[in-house]
Amino acid sequence: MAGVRTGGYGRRRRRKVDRFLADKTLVIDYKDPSTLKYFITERGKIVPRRVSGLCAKNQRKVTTAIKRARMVALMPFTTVKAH
Amino acid sequence: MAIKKFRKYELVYLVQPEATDDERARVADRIAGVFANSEAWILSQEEWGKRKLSYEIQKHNKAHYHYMVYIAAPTVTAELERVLRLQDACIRFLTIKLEDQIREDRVPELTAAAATAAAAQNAAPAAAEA
Repeated sequence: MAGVRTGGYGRRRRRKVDRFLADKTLVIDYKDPSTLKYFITERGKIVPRRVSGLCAKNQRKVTTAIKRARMVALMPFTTVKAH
Repeated sequence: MAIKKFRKYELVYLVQPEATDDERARVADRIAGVFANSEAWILSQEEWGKRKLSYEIQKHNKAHYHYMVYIAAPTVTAELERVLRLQDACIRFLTIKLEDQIREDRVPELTAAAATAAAAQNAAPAAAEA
């Protein structure tokens, strides 16, 4: 049945933790690319919430922060060079 | 008359990597000029130095990063952005609104808080050296 996954042979899910809830000293700021880099793929795409494990509120904050960081070239839009 | 309301903004602007200190000072002068002609208060200013860009901007791979936080009316920010667009040395800027609806009477309190924070920042490295 869709959506219901019981234990046993199903894929085991790792417990997801919101890093920003776990560590209150960590702030989401576009000026801090070293923190934000954990939420982008090697290609520079923003990692979806099901992978990042962030709560909805923090995922939105991270998304805006990454987009702002991209504007001032602190983070890449893409790592693949266009020609 | 109604109480004047201001906003708190932060500004990041990028200057061409080959710009001399003079050229960078000129951009800073232009910004100061905008503030001088209007009601605005600079809360803090930082230079992040020359940094590598994540992608090319106008064929540049590096740029001088400048950062500042200020309080002003929205019209001042509009004028500031217009002035920055006219500066060829400025290759990119980003303004973010941090706070809205700041009543005029709260401004002295905010500027004072920023001043003490800046003083503490300056005192900390000095104390560490001593």
